[in-house]
Amino acid sequence: MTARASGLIVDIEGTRRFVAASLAIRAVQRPPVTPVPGAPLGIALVDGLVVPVLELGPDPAELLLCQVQGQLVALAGIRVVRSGLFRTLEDAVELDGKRIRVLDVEAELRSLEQRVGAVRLGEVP
Amino acid sequence: MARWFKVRLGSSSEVPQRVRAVTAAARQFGHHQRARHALAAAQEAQHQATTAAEQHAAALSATVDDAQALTTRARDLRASTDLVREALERAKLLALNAGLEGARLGEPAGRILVTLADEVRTATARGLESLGEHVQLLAQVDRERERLGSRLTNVSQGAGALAGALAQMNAEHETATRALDELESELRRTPGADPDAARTVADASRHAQALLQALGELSPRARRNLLLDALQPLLRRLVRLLDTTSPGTANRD
Repeated sequence: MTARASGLIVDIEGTRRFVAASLAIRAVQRPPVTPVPGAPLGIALVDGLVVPVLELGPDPAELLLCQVQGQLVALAGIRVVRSGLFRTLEDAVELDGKRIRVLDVEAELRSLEQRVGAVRLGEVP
Repeated sequence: MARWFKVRLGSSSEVPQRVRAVTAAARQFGHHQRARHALAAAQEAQHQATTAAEQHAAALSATVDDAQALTTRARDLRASTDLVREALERAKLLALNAGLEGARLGEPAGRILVTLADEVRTATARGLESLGEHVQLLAQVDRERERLGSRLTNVSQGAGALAGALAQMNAEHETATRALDELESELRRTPGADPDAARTVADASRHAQALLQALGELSPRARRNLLLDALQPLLRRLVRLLDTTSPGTANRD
């Protein structure tokens, strides 16, 4: 039986990436995001909670709420294109015959932390 | 009596000149009358042109109103398009989140939810694509409306120029009318230039010239008494008639 991974396919500046359902909570329409000076980071109010927003691209359409290491973070500058179960290909999934690499959200956060130092993330609701 | 004629009418050689002068005055009066008729026709044509220009301006104003209404309707349509897009975006996100929940449930429990979510996502994607085409069409309509507005502006400017030309024509017409009035006054002040009087005087002058010529031919042959007997009744009436004529008129002659 073919292994399948559940999650979302997002588009970041024309490149598609897979976000596993274990990380992704849900996609929401982008609320106003207040930038944090000196960092590629912003904060936004989502469902009454202040959530750190990580800008991955220029697309202003949506936010993808994720739970990383028990903390809530929103990915911005992306567009969610598909959701469901996708055939697994090692470190990727397949969509319409194309290989879609997994978006390493934890690595993105680590990169951010290296650039701006300690970043305080929001609490999990 | 002959002396009376000589004093009042001058020598017989002056008569043709006077006849020609009076005839010329009558001709000038005829030109003046024709100019007045032409001016009246021009005034009528100008009136028709003014009426047509006013109708044109009214139609243009209505068209401008229509164009403005079109702008308002386009704005409403754009606002409604934005609402539809927002609703479709929400529906798309809802479908994507439903698909994510279905995927979390795994197979086979979440399959129906994933399939349904995918159908909804596809439908909303089509809706958004179609809406994009509508937005493009609306943008095209906007561009055409802007061109229409630009043309209407040009037409309005043309109508303004036409109104200005008609006003100028009206002023020129008034000037021409005043000039013709003055010319008519001048012509009427000219001796015998009153059109009907000028024609009558010209006829009388020609007859008088013929009479003088006949008398000139008869005088060497006819006896004076006989001639006076024959002409006296007529000449007395003629003298009486001329004596009753306005002294000013006789003096001017």
